[in-house]
Amino acid sequence: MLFNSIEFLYFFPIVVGIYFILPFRFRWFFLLLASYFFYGLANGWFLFLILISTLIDYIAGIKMDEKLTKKGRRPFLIISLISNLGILCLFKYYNFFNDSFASLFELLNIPYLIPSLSIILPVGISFYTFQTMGYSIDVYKGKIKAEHHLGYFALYVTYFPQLVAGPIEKSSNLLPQFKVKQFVEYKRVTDGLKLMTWGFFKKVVIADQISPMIKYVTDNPEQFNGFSVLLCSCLFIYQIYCDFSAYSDIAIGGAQVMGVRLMENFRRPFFAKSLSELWNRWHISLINWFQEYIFSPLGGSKKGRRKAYRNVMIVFLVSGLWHGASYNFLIWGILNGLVIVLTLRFTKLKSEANKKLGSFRKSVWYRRFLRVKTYLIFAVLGILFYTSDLYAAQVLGKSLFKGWSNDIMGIISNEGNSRAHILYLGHDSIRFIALLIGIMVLEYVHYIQEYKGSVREILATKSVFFRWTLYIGITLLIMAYSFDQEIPFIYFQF
Amino acid sequence: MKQLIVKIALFVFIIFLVDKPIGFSISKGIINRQYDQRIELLMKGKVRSDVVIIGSSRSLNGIDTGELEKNLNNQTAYNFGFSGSNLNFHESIFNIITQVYQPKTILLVVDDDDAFKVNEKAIYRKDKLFPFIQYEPVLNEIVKNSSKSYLPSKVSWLYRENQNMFEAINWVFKGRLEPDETTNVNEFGFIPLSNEDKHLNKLVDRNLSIDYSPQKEQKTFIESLIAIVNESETMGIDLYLVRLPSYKAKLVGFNDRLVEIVGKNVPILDFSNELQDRKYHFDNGHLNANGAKSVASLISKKLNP
Repeated sequence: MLFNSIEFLYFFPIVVGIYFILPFRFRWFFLLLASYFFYGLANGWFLFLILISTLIDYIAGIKMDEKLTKKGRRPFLIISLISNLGILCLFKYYNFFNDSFASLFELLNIPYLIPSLSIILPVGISFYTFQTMGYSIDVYKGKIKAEHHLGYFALYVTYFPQLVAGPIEKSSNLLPQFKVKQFVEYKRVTDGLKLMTWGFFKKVVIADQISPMIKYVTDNPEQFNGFSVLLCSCLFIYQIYCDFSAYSDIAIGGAQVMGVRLMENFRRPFFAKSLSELWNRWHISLINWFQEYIFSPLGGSKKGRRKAYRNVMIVFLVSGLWHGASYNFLIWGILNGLVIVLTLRFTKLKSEANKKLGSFRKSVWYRRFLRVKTYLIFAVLGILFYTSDLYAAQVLGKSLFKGWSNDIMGIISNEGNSRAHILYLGHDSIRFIALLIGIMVLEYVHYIQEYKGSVREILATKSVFFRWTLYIGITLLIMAYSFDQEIPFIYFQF
Repeated sequence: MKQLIVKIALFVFIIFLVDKPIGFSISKGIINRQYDQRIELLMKGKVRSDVVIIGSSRSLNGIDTGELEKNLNNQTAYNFGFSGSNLNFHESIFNIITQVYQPKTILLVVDDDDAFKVNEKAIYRKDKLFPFIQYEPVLNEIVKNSSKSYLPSKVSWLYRENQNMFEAINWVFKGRLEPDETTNVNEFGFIPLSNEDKHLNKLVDRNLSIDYSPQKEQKTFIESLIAIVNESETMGIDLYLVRLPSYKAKLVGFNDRLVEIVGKNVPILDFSNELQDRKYHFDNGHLNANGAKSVASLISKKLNP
């Protein structure tokens, strides 16, 4: 079930209503049923897979708990990791690696007989396998006690607000909250609903409006020059941010309505002044996961520069693969890692340059320059993300550096309605302007959050008339933009 | 808890109050923006013709409905052909018309070899229906053929009309759409094409015959045709399947296939081997104004008792 579907409009209030009416002892069971229904509606087969994953990790956790030493726990950790990674590899990476080997063997003129599999990628598999692997590792390390209640553990794996696209929660945060009786608190519930509304706004008013523009470019990449490619890349970054952070907002808001606090997943990434800072503000739960379970165990940045660079590259390589089984994502991950490693490598040079800049370094304009630079690097790297194959990425990458004057002239002259092609990327002027207004609203809200604090707190100081006009206006906009075709969240495919 | 419920109820009530005028404004704007007003005329009761033509551009441009009306004995005629539409869409047009009134006769123009197969040039033209979604019969068809939800569309006018929002705004700034070759209909719903044959592929071997192959036929298109046939029978409408002349190689066996699908009770008006001269054709698939006029005359001879 999609958050942006009509079904969810019925599902959520019914689930919340029943949840609060039910006696506390039945709530976990009801939430579990609701979560299975939410997940299984798309494909019942996916449920079977998540049940297997749940049972293996539950048993492995309990067995590890029984052992006093790490050595004793290790076999059960290995079982848990192998089964989770096995499921992930089979469903997500098997065909990618198999096809790659087939191409390699073909190149070497060696017969290759292992067939590809016709399998559907289960929705959210990368999210829940990472979440349960994190749990198993924490139990193995003795950081947490294993959960002995199968129901609560199953709910931890399948809790519907965050099951499909995160945030990837640590069991130490989520599990204890299921065991606390929650009441209907006006402020908490309305704050949750406001966050959900903001999420829907980002999804339908911004992300879904950019989606056809990106498709317009990627369907015929040869037809575009530098200006359009850069514009498309910049818009794509807004699309993926508004799409994914919207999911997180709806998840966090939805959980908040039910009294569960999920972790923050995005922190205004476009205010970052470097790519490494951006990655600390983007998909925070995944980055934390990598930090805790890959980067730190490898030695982090404490074992010398070279090892630190290696560890960064490993994290971004895995991050690329986590996002998708294709060379595009792999190279995208590597390039992100490379930019960060180069920034670390030339820290001295950068500080010397900063000294020469003097007081300008502290000016607003310099900060803005750094932000724009970071955003543009991220946007250009995004070409690998939004194109379906390396060929399209290569075409757009090359186009980025050509035909700028033609594009600018085309926009100015609008000959043969060229503006619609170059600037509006297939939209008409009204829709394009409406989109820009949406992005400006988003940026204004980010500005307030970054420099003035919580928007909800600030709004609380305004008059009732102002607040209600705003809430009603946003709700009407969401209704106006909820066209007949629900565009799935991009991160569902991961 | 009580405070929360009261405030949510109040919020929903205000939304409900504001929703209707906005939806109504969008509806007004989008209908005014359309050049092709045939569905609007139908809904307003201004089209109640005895003979109605349904089909794709081949029917929109291929049957001069004014000429047909002139040749029919005291019967009126109207063309509801839509460019680039497929049989699923024709079924929707049939349903919309018959929910409003029951014509005596319906001529369904069948696109020969493309009728039951996927063709990217013939699709379900949601875009032709959305501007008129305020009308219940149109809403019903859109709901059946898209992911638009019925219940929210009944509750919220804004949701119902939201697909039309940007075009309605365009009406404010740009006014009515300029007519084009797919919308410039005359008072009979017909668009004549020029008599020049410069679009014609003259290299087509007219003596060649091609056997119709049912391979790649889509079940959904066949079901639509059967639905139209069954509904016509139930309502007592005289349904005719029409095959228009084209400037292509002859298609053999298609009539047999049609009989196989719809049975022998539905008459097939087969003009596919008529009007073979180039002067009747706009391109290989469409008749020009001369051709449309001549076909109208041929049809009227069949319909007049």
